[in-house]
Amino acid sequence: MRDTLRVKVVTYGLLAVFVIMVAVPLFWMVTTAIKTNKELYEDFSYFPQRPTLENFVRVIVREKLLTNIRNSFSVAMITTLITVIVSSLAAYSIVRYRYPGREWIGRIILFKYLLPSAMLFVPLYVIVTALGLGNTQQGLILTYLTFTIPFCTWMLMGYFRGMPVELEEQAMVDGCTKIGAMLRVLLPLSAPGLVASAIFSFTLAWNEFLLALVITMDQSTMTVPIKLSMMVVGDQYIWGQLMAGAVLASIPVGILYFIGQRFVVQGLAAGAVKS
Amino acid sequence: MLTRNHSIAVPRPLETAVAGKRTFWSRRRREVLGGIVLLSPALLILTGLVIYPFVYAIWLSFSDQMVGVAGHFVGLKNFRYVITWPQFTAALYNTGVFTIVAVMCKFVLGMAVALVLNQQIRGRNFFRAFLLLPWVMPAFVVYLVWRWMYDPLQGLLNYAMLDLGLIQQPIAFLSTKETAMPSVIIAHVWRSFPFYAMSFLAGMQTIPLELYEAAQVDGASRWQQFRYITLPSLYHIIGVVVLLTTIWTANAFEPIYLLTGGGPSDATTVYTMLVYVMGMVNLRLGEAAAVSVLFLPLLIGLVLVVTGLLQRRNDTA
Amino acid sequence: MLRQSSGMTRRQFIATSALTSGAAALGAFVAPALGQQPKLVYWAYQFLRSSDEARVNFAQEWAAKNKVEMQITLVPWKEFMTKITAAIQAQATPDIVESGGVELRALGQLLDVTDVYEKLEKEHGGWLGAAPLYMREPDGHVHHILYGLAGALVIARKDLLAQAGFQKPPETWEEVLVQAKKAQQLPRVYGIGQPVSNQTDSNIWEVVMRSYGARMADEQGKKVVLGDYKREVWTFLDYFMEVWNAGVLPPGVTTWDNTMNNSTYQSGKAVFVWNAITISLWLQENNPDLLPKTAHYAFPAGPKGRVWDVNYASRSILKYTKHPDICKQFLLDSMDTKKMEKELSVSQWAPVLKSYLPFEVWNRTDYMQGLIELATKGNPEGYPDVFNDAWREQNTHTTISRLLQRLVVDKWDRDKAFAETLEVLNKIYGKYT
Repeated sequence: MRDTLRVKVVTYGLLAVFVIMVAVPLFWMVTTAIKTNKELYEDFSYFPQRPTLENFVRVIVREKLLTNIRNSFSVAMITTLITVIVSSLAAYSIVRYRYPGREWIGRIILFKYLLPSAMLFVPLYVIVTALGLGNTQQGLILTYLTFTIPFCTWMLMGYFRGMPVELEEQAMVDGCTKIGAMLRVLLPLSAPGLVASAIFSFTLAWNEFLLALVITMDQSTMTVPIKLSMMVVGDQYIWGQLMAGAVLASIPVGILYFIGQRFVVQGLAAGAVKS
Repeated sequence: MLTRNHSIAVPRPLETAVAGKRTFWSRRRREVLGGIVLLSPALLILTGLVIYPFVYAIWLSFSDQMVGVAGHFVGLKNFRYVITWPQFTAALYNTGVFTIVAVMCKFVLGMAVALVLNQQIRGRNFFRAFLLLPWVMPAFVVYLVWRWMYDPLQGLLNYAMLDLGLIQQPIAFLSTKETAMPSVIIAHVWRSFPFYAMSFLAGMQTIPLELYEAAQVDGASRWQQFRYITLPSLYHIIGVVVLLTTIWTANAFEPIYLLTGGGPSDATTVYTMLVYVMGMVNLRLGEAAAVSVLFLPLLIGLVLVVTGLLQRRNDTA
Repeated sequence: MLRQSSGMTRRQFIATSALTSGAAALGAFVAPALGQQPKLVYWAYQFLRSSDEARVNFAQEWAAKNKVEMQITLVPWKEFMTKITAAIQAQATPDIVESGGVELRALGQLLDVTDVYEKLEKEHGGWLGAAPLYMREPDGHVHHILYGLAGALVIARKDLLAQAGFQKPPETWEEVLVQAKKAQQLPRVYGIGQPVSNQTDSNIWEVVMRSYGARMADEQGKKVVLGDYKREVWTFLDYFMEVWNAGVLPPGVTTWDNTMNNSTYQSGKAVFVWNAITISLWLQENNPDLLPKTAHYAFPAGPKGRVWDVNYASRSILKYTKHPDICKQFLLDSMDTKKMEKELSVSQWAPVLKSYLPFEVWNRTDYMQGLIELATKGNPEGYPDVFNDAWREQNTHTTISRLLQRLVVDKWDRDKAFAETLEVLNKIYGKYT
């Protein structure tokens, strides 16, 4: 589709605006991470005068942040994996099967979000401990599933509904079972939705604070947000280290998203069997 | 609700009729079983880990439970206490304003970003990942950075505006009654818009290009294409996203807690702040639960209103 | 043709994997092997790096020496109540904690440690200052052991004050305002870096009000009597409005959190702040140029006398512990003189036991001496009000600071704001009778 010059100008213009909008706070974060302590607290400067990597070194060596990043990563990945699988199955069930009560389940699934985490985390922790999963990654993952699955199921329900049934029916006429039709036809076509669900799941699990605070007890299980909060020591923020930690924590996820983007395009190309 | 019967009508393969009756495991039964089996992992998790806490929270609101101390039924005492708490009405109002304004801003911004990212632009993959970053970082970090940027004495925004001559005196963005809520909303929108952008973008990518090409041949403007092709195709996604994020935004805690602590005075106090202070600071779980329960009708109302609107949209589409 | 049967198989496959993933999530886990060593869980107070490290190191050495397996978790003070709430409700409590002593005591969660208290008293020649008042309950029992007293000092830029012609510390709150007005150098340096927000550093204003003669509740701490002190409150409000209108408070104080007064002073932007010596310890490490210019004064007095709240740090044992005696031994050993000498030299605490007084660390610096003054001249928190649950709840609510915010943020008139304050106090105190 050829774009007129005007459309191109508007598009790139808006893009520039958005990029600046996102970049300014990020820039602030990164420059804070490379300023010396002295620079941070005495005079204000837009750019670091004497950039240094000492905050990063401190955060990696002294605080051992890489362990926490690894913890966050594995918790988020496993949560995402289970979520996408379970949600796809559930969404497929609600949308393509008929049985009593399925519409109500579709509705009630959302009600989970009505109560704030400030209320729910106590009983959640009670359950996790009762199962013997206190201070474990498994315990954390279990609680994270409670807020990733409802949303992803709902999202995928929307996607699946928008997919023409005829394609699956065609596959079944060609000899597939219902499940097979899902795996061979529906899921590939829903790749963007699946990837979006995966990204949401991952991010929710990656950033979660309250449950991780309560469930994790030591360095071996602590996730990144909790570790970063410990860089607010008493009544002082250790700004340099905090921002260095934040930058380090954002890099792996940023890379993951960059790759995920490409996967969406590939998935679409693979499943482009329309009409 | 959003129902069109999308269940698959499966033509009967020949061999069943030939192989004889399987009356117990009829097609219908197998379908029901299949559906339930697929649903079961989700259902299992949700029953145990959602229903129980939900019921527990409601029970709490009727008890005088404090941490570690068994609670007794006290009827409506907590509710009466909480409703007459001076900040309660402020919380109602602020939660409403915060939610509605933030969701609208996020929607518009997210849609605009998605539209731009859906175009053929150079370096598209990079920009897509880049514009997601605000959502990627822990909320804690994001709001601290914004807090610091807003600071009147040491913050970037004031320094820049003073240097550029836009203002003469520093503006205490988060501490002035008129600017506190807008400032909180701006920081929150910055953090959360990628969620919308991503969802809409994913939806846009399933729209076949031929539709746009055909429309262009017919002489439709870009705006018309957006209105008559893009938007309708996104109804489901928009429905899901707006509904859920409305609830999530109403339940937002970190933006307010980290930026203003509910202040100045009660200008940004939302209901989650009340729940936190009553439950986590004062350790009076019954009161905290009562606040949560009192806000449920508001949230349920929102769910019903939005799904109702979507139903009508869907029917007229 | 044969698809039908494989369909069943596939469905079974899905079913199995679905159930398996569910089972895996709830999987049975081997119970921790019963080791030879008793296991203790210790939640250490995280507030100041050097102090935290000292306590953690001690715990690790102690555990090794006493053949105890100790799991140490550093809990930021802000998150402690959240964590302990969940732990108690889940019946998965730690053994030893270093926060929330008074709150947990009120909820009946702590082990009786009267014997530890009395032993320490005997071994160390007695407790100091307000310490016994925090520990001894009316019936003589003790449930938490203090290891430090803390509080705010007046931290001041004596160089700027000298420039403005002031050599002596301010004796009254009025003097503070006079000195602040003259010594400040707008727009860079403000006179008083004190929050008027919903965060607890703002409770200094309540202390000021009490020094003007007002009190929240009666002698028993049950009935709200602030309404009877309207005259004193109005005088206090006059003072506050003078401070506010003098422009000595930096912009933004109405949403300052507890870190802002620190960072404002540390970056040289305030003449006076009220804070614990965490500022001085930070300066020592990060901005040593500013330290010699910093003075540490006692709290000034109001018209009705000096009120100087001292709070505390304590260690306590959850009553659910399986090893009460080992825990008590830990508490005892933690108060060892040599150990405390090392620890107090890098912490923000004033001493609690008489045997700590001879430490030379108190004379090493200005601010350490300030701590001794705090310990000897300070009063228990809330004085003259009773330090009970009701008082603590209104204090966490920053009631007086909110009263002030109603005046300067919402522009309410005094009667309306005061009526709301009384309503809030009555609701809070009403819950605890």
